[in-house]
Amino acid sequence: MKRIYSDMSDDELFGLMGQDSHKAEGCFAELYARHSPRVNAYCKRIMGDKMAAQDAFQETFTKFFKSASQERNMTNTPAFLLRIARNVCLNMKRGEKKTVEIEDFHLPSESPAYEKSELLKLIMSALELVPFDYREAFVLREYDGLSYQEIADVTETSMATVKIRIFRAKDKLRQILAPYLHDLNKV
Amino acid sequence: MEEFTPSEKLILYLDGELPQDQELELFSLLASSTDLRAEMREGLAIRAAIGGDIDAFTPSTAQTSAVFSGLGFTPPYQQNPSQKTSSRYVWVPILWLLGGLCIGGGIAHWFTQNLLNQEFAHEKTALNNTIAQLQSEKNRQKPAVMSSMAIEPSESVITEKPLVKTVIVYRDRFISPDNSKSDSNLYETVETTIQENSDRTDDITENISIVYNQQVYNKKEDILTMPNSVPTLSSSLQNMQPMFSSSVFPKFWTQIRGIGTVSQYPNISANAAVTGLSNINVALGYSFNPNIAAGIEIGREPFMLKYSGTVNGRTVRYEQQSSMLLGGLIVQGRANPIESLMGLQPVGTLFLGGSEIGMMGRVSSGIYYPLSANVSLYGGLEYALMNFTYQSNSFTTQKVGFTYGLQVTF
Repeated sequence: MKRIYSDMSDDELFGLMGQDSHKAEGCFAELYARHSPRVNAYCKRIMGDKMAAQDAFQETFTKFFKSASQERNMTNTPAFLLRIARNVCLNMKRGEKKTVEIEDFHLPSESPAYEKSELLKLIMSALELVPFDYREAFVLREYDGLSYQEIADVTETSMATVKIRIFRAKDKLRQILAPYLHDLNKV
Repeated sequence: MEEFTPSEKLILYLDGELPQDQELELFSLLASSTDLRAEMREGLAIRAAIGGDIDAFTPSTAQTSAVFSGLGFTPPYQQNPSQKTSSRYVWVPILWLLGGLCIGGGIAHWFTQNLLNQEFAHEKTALNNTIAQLQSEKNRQKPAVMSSMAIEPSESVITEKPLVKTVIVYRDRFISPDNSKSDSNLYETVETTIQENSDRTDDITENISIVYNQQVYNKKEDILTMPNSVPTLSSSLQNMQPMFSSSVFPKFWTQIRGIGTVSQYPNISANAAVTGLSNINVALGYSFNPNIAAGIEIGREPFMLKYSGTVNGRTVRYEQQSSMLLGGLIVQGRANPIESLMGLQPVGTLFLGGSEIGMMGRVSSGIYYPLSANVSLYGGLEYALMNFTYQSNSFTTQKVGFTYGLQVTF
């Protein structure tokens, strides 16, 4: 019986994508639908710059697709994708530093049509002020929903380091957002 | 065992990473510390705000296109499944159209059978009276109408003959006879109407004459060729206000128009799907009287669709701006033409119907600029509102646009 892609697991789809060129497009489209939101959130909130984030997003999925042909034993597709995205983003940031002498992070440039809550805008601005390692851990936890262990795997660090980075990121955010959050508590 | 501060324990707990054997200790800390409870509220507020960061979780259409095109694939929203979904709804506007036809036809039939027949009956009675009167004159072998230029009537004729004042209706223009300069003593006035190319021209007999610019036309052939025989007639017609009477209404008309979007709500970043005939409407209407018309409309227009869904437990925003089929009923209210403004005619239109995905309504106002008796240009503004359902959730979309088109009356 013909199986629908949406019924298949990530591992099955990834395996089929590398083995059957006729089904590769369908498998890729299904995996893209499942995981593109997480990758997009990571790229956007890590890169800050919208165009750079879009480039990183595209390159991540291109590399992901090409990696399927390399007989890889996939166990955690979201973490694998985020690891690719992380490498792409880090490479792009290194490239930026070589040629452009500006502040490491820009204010996020989002579509003006999209109305965000005031707190969300503040969080996005405050995130730009948080050191990269802390911010990355925070984004992987809050945006991508990874456990501390998964974050440790993606960032290739220890659990203890992940905890410290998340504590400090949240502490830093709370310090920056203190005036607003203080008002929030009054309500 | 690692030692954490109360704040760190709270973070671990909120992240689901705090060992169960330490939870009770945290709860007692929370119960005793106002500051810790405030921290918890702040942490939850930040998490809730991030959960609503739809923009971060939603790759744009351009991003998706770039990814798929880069790999030589067709973007998901252009693949067959969506087209199949779309084709499923292609019957919806057709059903709307059929429903509109039935209802519109019923209304038109009711008007024709009731209101308009009464109007025509009045006209018919007046005409029949005239014909009967003239016939009576003829029976007495006395010409009913005489040309002052051709015949010098005798005293007895003047006193005995009923005199005829004739009113011409040429297409939709009303012409008053200029009796002031004619020998009006010769004629008694009886109003009637004659419309060119209508069946009523058969009623023109030798006994009916038409007086215009001191000239009397008493032959059917002359009457029907009046524009040629009376040089001033055409220019006079141009300057005269269209006569809105039951003798020229009802009229069928059709309108073809395009729509340009001025602004759209909600704002989305997806570009409009532009295909052939993706932004054009055709209406077929029926004027019940000079000021009220109704009909049906069908066409294709792009609408902004924006909705939020959940993918893998995350809130995701989808955007789409597809051109879709629509159809429904229209009702038009028309003001009288403003003669001092080149005959411009203000008009307001209400549209109620549906598109492929849901019900919609539209109000528009504009003006007709008459190019000729049958053709007018149209321009105006419109506001459209559409309600649609996706995954059991109800959404609305709306837009403001300008419209332009052509109306042909026949």
